Amino acid sequence: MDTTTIARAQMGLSLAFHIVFAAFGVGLPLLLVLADRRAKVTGDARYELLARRMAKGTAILFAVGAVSGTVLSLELGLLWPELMRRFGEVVGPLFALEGFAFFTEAIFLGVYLYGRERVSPRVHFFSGVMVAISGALSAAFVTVVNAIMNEPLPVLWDGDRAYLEAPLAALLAPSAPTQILHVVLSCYATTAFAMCGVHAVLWLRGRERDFHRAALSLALPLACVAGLAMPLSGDLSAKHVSQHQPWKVGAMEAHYETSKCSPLYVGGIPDDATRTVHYAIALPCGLSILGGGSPSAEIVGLDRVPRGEWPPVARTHFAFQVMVSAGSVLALVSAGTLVYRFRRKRWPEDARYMRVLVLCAFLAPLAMEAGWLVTEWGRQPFVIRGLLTTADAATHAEGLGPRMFAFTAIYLFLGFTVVTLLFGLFRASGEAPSGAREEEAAHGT
Amino acid sequence: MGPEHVVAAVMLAGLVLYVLGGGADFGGGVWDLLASGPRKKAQRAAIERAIGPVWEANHVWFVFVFVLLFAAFPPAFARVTTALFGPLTLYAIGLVLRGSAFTFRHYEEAEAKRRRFGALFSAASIVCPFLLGEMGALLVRDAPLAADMTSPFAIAGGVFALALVATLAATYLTLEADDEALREDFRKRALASLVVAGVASWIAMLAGRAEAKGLFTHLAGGGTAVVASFLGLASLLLVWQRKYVLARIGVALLATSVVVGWGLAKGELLVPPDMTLAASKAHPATLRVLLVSCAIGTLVLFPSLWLLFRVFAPIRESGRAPGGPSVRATTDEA
Ligand code: HDD
Ligand code: HEM
Ligand code: HEM
Repeated sequence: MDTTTIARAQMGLSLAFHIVFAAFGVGLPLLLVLADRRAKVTGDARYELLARRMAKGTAILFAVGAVSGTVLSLELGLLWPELMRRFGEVVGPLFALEGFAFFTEAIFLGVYLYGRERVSPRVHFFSGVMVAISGALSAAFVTVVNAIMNEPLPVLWDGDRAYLEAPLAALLAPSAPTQILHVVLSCYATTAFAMCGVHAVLWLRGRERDFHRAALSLALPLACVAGLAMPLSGDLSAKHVSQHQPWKVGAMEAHYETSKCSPLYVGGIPDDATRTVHYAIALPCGLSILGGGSPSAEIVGLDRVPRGEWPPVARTHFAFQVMVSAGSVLALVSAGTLVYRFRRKRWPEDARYMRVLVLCAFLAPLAMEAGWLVTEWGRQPFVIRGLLTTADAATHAEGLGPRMFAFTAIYLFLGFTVVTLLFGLFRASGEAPSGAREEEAAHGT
Repeated sequence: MGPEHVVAAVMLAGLVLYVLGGGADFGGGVWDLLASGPRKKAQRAAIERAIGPVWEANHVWFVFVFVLLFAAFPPAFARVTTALFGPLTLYAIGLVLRGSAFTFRHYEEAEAKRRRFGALFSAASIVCPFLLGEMGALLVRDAPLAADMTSPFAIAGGVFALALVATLAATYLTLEADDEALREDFRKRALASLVVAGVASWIAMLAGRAEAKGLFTHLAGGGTAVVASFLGLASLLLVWQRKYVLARIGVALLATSVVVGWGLAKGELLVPPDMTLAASKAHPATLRVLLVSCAIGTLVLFPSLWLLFRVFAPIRESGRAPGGPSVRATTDEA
């Protein structure tokens, strides 16, 4: 493998790892704050216990999120020195803003997790809110960086270094609004469905059903709202991409020929050589309707993109199918759940439904990972679309292979340990009788 | 003086705060490894209590300085990450293992595993400041920047940095300890590490005469040596006399003088041999935006930091070093 390929693999691995923890870093604080709030409003002790138990898992997930994120910022420089040299100035201020968001996040997280017994309930609640806000903000800022990479704004050049006349204009990157919405929602969807899945498993075990019922009644509304919002926001993203990023829509929809009444391919294996899609179900004019808003809208295809600038079509198309399929299941479950809730005035509670929730706990992060692959693969072979190719941005350092190996081993170790520790916490939570609250309180976090 | 100098000064301030806070957290890991005697457990518990609530916030100073470097001086950033590829990768690995092992240990019940996470945590806490010191030394040598990790000057710099963070931690911990015997343990450690830091600094200076001539002919370099030596001796005396609050201020000033002196001695030269601030700076508009963001961010940041360190302040109210993220620890945990 050449250096660039290893660099890409290492970057992709690190990001795919970080994004899981980052998503929890955005979503869990919101759920914690909701639990605290409900504990206060209803006076129901189950919610306070829930918040205390969730805080432990949050501490673990956050720590791994913080360190894996730091690795990423180092890797930006180590693996992509030319990217930073030429575009550091364009994306730098965004990362600086993100840095401040990290600060408030880490600071108030410290107060929230370790300070329950030390600060007034109001300061404690306020800290939780600050963590939730700064988590969402940091996700938003870093997503803007990604938006710039996908669809750069007009930049000025000083030799081969790009800069912006008004650096904060970077916040107005064309695809930022749709991406931020979709990304932040995906963090909430992933976290809320994961939480539902955990409590569904514990419910199925039959312990403390009352407690898990309360937990589900807290996570389900967020999961369902986010689950329903994902396809709507995804539709906005798809419309934007269809109109402004023909290379990406070409790859994700395997859309080779520019045409009015473009078909939408469900499934299938794209074949670049013949520019056809085998074994797909073609919905006539589907892409024109979804991407352009009318059956006769013209959707530019890969034929208008120089052959050397095509993203890898098959992979991107496949990832897109995975995201949309998973997203459709999540949306159906969400809709069904909400209908049930409004008809029966309570949340569904039977073993079959719980198993569906466990499935959803896997589908949501799967959709998120797949979606990111669509975005990242759909931009290739450029790191800054049209301006800097990935190969030109990459390092020439020797010995990337062993390092890649080391990072893979470390991520495996971290992932494995986090899962073991979380399982330990879940198991312990099942064993602790509900009356053991005082004991847990004395333990702090 | 242009905006690039102001940004450089902000970065230097961030580095000082990283050393005072994050450095001390590394030092905690050193003493975790070297915990010994009848109060071994109590020493580790005090360290864990002190680091727990604050390490993530302290750690962000590193991210902050790193991000400012690439936003404000992109070519210098690319040069540094290319030349120091090896040590920076190791540093990344060290940071990952330190933070995660520390947290994992906190939530692990099984004693054997706790010990293994503890070993990982302290090993990483030793490697990180050592690498930071080495990289600091490499950045002030006369030779072009390269990952020359075995140069005597770099090694001496690494040992000095390690001793310095150990000093910070031991001195802070004297104020965290809730009983007299434990405090004495940390006092002894503070004294020992101060002596090691002093010796290492003199060795570094000797090695520096060959490798970093620019540093010592520079007024700031010489001045720093004098000021830091004075502060080191003063701290030694204060710890000896059990004047812990003043000692804490003393060691914080000592570390500050070292970092500031390092920065002043670098002067205009960001990356040796020839990449200056002026040659690598971003456009004025970008620098201005960075400075304005920092100014506004500070308005949120410092009150928040104040809250954090006040909440987790040790029992003694007066034990806070000026501006230093030095206050730590809880008291009521089992
Ligand atoms: C829980 C996660 C999740 C779910 C259920 C969906 N997505 Fe998604 N999608 C993401 C999570 C995600 C993401 C967070 O991973 C991405 C990657 C980059 C981005 O902006 O959001 C993404 C990207 C992304 C893009 C590319 C955007 C760009 O590159 O600018 C499109 C067109 C869609 N999505 C469309 C959809 C549609 C039509 C869905 C309908 C079911 C859908 N997504 C469900
Ligand atoms: C918003 C934040 C993100 C930024 C700024 C970002 C940035 C980058 C950069 C600089 C590269 C290397 C150059 C390139 O290959 O284009 C890259 C590649 C990659 N990223 Fe991202 N990324 C982000 C999010 C993600 C996420 C969350 C994933 C999760 C799956 C991901 C997956 C990948 C993959 C797989 C590659 C390699 C692509 C290839 O070369 O084929 N990225 N990203
Ligand atoms: C190239 C891309 C990225 C870089 C360089 C990066 C960098 C970082 C860094 C340095 C941290 C640690 C902050 C701390 O010390 O507390 C971090 C944490 C975080 N990142 Fe990322 N990140 C990237 C991608 C993403 C993406 C795609 C998201 C979300 C959509 C995200 C959201 C977060 C959040 C919410 C946190 C804090 C929560 C936590 O610690 O778990 N990041 N990131």
